[in-house]
Amino acid sequence: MSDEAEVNGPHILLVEDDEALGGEVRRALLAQGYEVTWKRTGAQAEAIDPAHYQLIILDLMLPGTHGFDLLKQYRQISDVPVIILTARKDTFDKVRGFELGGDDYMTKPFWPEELIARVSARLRRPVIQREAGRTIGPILIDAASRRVEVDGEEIDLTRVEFDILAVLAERVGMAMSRRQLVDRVLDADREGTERTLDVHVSRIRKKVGDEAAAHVETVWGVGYRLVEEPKRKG
Amino acid sequence: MGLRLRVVVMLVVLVVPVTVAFSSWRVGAERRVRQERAAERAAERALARPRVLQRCLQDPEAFAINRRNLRARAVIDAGDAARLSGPNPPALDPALWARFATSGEGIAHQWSWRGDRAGASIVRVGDGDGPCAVFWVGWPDTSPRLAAATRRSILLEALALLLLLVATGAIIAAPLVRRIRRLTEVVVADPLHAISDHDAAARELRTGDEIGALARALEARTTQVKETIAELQARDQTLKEYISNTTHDLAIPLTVLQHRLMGLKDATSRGEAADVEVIERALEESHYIAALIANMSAAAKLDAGRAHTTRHPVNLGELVERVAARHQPIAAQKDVEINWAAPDDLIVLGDSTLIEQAVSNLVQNAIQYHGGGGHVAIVADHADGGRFELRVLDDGPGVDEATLPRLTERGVRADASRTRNPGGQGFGLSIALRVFDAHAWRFDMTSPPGEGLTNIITGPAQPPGSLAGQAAT
Repeated sequence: MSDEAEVNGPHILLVEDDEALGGEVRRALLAQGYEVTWKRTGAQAEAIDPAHYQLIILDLMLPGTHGFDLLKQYRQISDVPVIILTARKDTFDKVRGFELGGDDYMTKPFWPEELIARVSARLRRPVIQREAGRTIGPILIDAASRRVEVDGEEIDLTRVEFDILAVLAERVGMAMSRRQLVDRVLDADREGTERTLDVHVSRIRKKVGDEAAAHVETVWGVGYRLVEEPKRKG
Repeated sequence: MGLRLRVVVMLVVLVVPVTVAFSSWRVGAERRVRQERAAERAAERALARPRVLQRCLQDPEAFAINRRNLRARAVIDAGDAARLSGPNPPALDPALWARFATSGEGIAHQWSWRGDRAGASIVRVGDGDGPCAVFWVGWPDTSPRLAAATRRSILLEALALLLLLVATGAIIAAPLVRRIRRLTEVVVADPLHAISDHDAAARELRTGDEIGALARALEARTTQVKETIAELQARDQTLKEYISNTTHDLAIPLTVLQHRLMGLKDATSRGEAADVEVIERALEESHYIAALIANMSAAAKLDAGRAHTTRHPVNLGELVERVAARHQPIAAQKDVEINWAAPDDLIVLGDSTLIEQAVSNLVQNAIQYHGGGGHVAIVADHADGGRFELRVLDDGPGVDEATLPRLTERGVRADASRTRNPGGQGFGLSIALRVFDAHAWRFDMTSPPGEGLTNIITGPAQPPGSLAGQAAT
């Protein structure tokens, strides 16, 4: 009997024969708001249609069926992301898994949070955002026309300042290192270094105002990131 | 069947029948020649004498000579109805008569090995067609004796030949058999002992013939077997050590974990609220056990040598993300903030399992040594010259200048530090060092006072875009 939960959210297929582990994973996924279908045997897993799911979590060691065979079967008709679970750390297995079309690999033991993080990573929108307009909180960044607005008001930014915001906006929520930003945005010969970058960012923060500036986070040891939900200070 | 016997038997089987057959044929041919000559002589001497001729002419029909070594009849009515004279004439073989008629040599012979072993000749003694011009001569029936003599001589010949061949075969085969026996003895005595160690057999290695080639092949095989055995023994040893170390080193934290859980159980069954701190400690312990297992597995892999490490494209960005996610729960518990950044097109060549474990160990150490509260950052970047740079930094207490160089000392197996502080600075770091070493990457640690600890790893990266469809962790 398969377990289906009536929850909105991406539908995930879990193929795992171990009752305890399967139960834990399902619980963790449901708590994140995902819909979960849990198949416990190779035969059940063979019968599903991968097109119904946004992501598949697949245990390699199923009794009687090898996970790789299931993976091959799914890949024949679908490109749905697959995260492979196994207790074996053999790199050879990993490479084989990727060759067969697996997208990610988790070795047991793992924390439930780890799995959730991988699942979110696989399900999130494609990393590079090249949409015409990107809204982060009160900030609107239009890459095509090179305009930035805060609460509807246009902000006057220099070329470099705009580029910095645009690059950060490509990966909202993910940090970029100072070096990466410098490589992408500054002309190293003339405009300089990571120090210069910090100066530019502080100018950006002044120009967009305190409320918007909270969305431009300094990331310790790394660089900067744009966030949807600024952290409460204090 | 031994080599000598085989050689001898083959020689005998090949040579003796051929020789016997040849001899018999030769003897037969000579015998015919002799008999032909005997008939000729008989014809010349006995029959051409005037007295004999006269006797014949007196009464041709009755002419007959029946001596022991000569039988003769006159051929009456030479022509188609030829017959022999005398009482009870033997049959005149038409084939012989025809041969005589057509030969034109004045003499024809017939012989046979079968029947009474006799033969006959027809010989012309005088000219013309009258009686007593052509005579039939029957050869004496000495065939049995001759045949017997012939048989005896051929048998003797065969026997002599046999003995000769046996001797020859034995003599030829003897040294070969001796060499092969010696080689066999050496190999059988101790299969793993090199042939070159035995003086007598060692000479064999330098001989040019097939036995020498065999000896060299055996020697090569022995060397191969020894190497394989040594390798297997080493692997076996590694595995034994791994198992014994694992069981031993895991026993400690597992015991601690059990104790903490027992403590929790007691407290809650007494009705007390569960102490979150105790639970957090228990979680840390199990996290530590997981890290320990991973490190021991990495150590076994490294010990087993190059054969067990693979090289494939590794996406450093994905690797960094996984490591950060893995340590997030414990970091959160200790109020440590983990941040990371990496480009999405940074590919390196290496063993993803080992690299991940190495980086994970550095992060674990960074978290471990925080008093609580603080930051850890993992940053991967492209570096100049097609290289990559991976930094793991923290704002913890750092390491003082004196200790720093010792930590990165090469060749520190850290067996001692394993038992004292497994998973901690000692073991985890030593695994990381070995992994970077195995990839020929550069590793540096800096710890300026008040600025925590920074680990920097650099190495060659794959050209971006060269492995577009193959990026994998």
